Amino acid sequence: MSTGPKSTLVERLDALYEYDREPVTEDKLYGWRTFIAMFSSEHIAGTEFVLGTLLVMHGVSAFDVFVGLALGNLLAVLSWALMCAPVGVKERLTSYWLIRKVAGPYPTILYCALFALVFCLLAGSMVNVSTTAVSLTVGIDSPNYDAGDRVPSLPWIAIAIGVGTVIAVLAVLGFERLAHFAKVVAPWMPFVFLAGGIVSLRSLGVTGLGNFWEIANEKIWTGMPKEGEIPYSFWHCVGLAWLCNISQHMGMGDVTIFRYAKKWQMGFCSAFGMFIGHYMAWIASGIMCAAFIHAETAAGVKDPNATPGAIAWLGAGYAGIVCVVLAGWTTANPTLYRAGLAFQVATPNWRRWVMTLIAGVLMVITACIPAVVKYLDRIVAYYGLFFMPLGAFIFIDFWVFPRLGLTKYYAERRRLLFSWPALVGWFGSFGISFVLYAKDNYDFMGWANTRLPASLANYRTDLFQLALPAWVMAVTLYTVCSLIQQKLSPASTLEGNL
Amino acid sequence: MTAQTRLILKMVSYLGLAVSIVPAFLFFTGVLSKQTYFHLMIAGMVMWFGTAAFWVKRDHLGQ
Repeated sequence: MSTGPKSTLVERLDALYEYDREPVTEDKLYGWRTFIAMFSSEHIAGTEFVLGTLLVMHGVSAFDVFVGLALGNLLAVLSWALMCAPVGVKERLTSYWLIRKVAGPYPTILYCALFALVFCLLAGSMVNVSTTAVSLTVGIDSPNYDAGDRVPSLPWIAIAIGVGTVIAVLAVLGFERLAHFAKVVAPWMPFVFLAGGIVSLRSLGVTGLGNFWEIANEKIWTGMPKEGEIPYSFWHCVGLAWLCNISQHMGMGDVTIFRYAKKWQMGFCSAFGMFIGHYMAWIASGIMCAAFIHAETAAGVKDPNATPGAIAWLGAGYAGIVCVVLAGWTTANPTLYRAGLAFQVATPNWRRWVMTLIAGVLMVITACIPAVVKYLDRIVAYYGLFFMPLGAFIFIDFWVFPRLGLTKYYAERRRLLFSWPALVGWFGSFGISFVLYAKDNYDFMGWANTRLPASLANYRTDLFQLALPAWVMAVTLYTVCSLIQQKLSPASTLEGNL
Repeated sequence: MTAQTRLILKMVSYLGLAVSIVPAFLFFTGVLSKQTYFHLMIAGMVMWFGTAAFWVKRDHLGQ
């Protein structure tokens, strides 16, 4: 395939993923231990310090956290094990090639380009997390969004640029060693979260299991949101835990990983990532956050700024600071690297290091916007809802289409540049989900309530409660449109030409 | 690296993880001061990073 100056965007994108175009062979498969280690390390990141804190600020109760997060994480594990892993094991291809088979090359380019932008945003939030720790050690205050800081101070921006530059340069220099370093860091981080949580419990007055529940409800997850925050409930906890990785499980992003699995049952290894990273770590960071707020309030601080650096310092001292820096850094690096790869495709043969640096600049700019961390849970929810549908189509093509008598991977077989059912399902699902949420939450969308049927206008929902409805809408739209498409132009009419 | 060296490195790494969590329980039960707990957390971190890099294997999943 040509990759010269005259090559098309589609050819360049294909060339980038050429090495994994063929299914993984039997001799390259991995066992249980590899997947347990991989999931345990992938799902504990700097952002856990933020999300656990946000649940406290939004006033969930202890029951909401312990049971809601357990249920949400269980749903995520089941989604990995029953939806994503079986497709990965049977097809043994990356998500890129599967999306291309289902939706065609043009939607795949769009998917990759938008994913790159979101990667920059997520990497930026991780740089922000690391910067809160570095700035604490040199005595510079992190921006406090709740106190009205919309732009950080110049010294804080300088530190963020420094942290971001180190990350960008290392991402340019190479991914292999960093991936290894991230693997070394990962087993240690959960211990710091757990230690910080246990230590913070004592400062909140917990003396044992006897008074834990009482203090948890009175001082940590009180059921009362901080002033100005939207109240979160049990279903927000379920939804956040399920939705935050939806692009990986129901969205099939992790078929790229499960193509190396010996058995589909290895999808259950995701439980190690979910219950360490998104259960224990969120609970621990919530406890550390509450302890920090109580300590600051007792010291007379009016509006405590519970940054990741500040809560980790209180819970684990310098080890906590190192944990925050590394948790942000080790996850920002591969994220930035992948963003650079995706941007490289969309440009006229620019070098990868140039694109990685440009992605790095976007990352640093994002890191300097306090609102990104303040609304990280919303960003994660939007990201999940937007990227999930294309993966849902892979699932439907694989399991449902043969049973309906429809042709699997129709876009690939007909060599279509784009699959219109995929586009309708993708943007239709996200568009409807957005309207259902935005009509009650954004002023500029208030008009929708006057135009929608009464049943929909009265329907109140939140982003975190839309995971299942969005999936159902996406696959329904896609299946109905595919029925029409294949009825009008059956794949069998081209069989002789293929 | 010999098998014996590798074993020693692994033992120190795991000991480092233990030093990163046991002091938290000791502080919780009032056996340790917070300052000692902080120092032990640093010791555990140094033990882990000083040894784990030599034996934690690379893999190529998803790359």
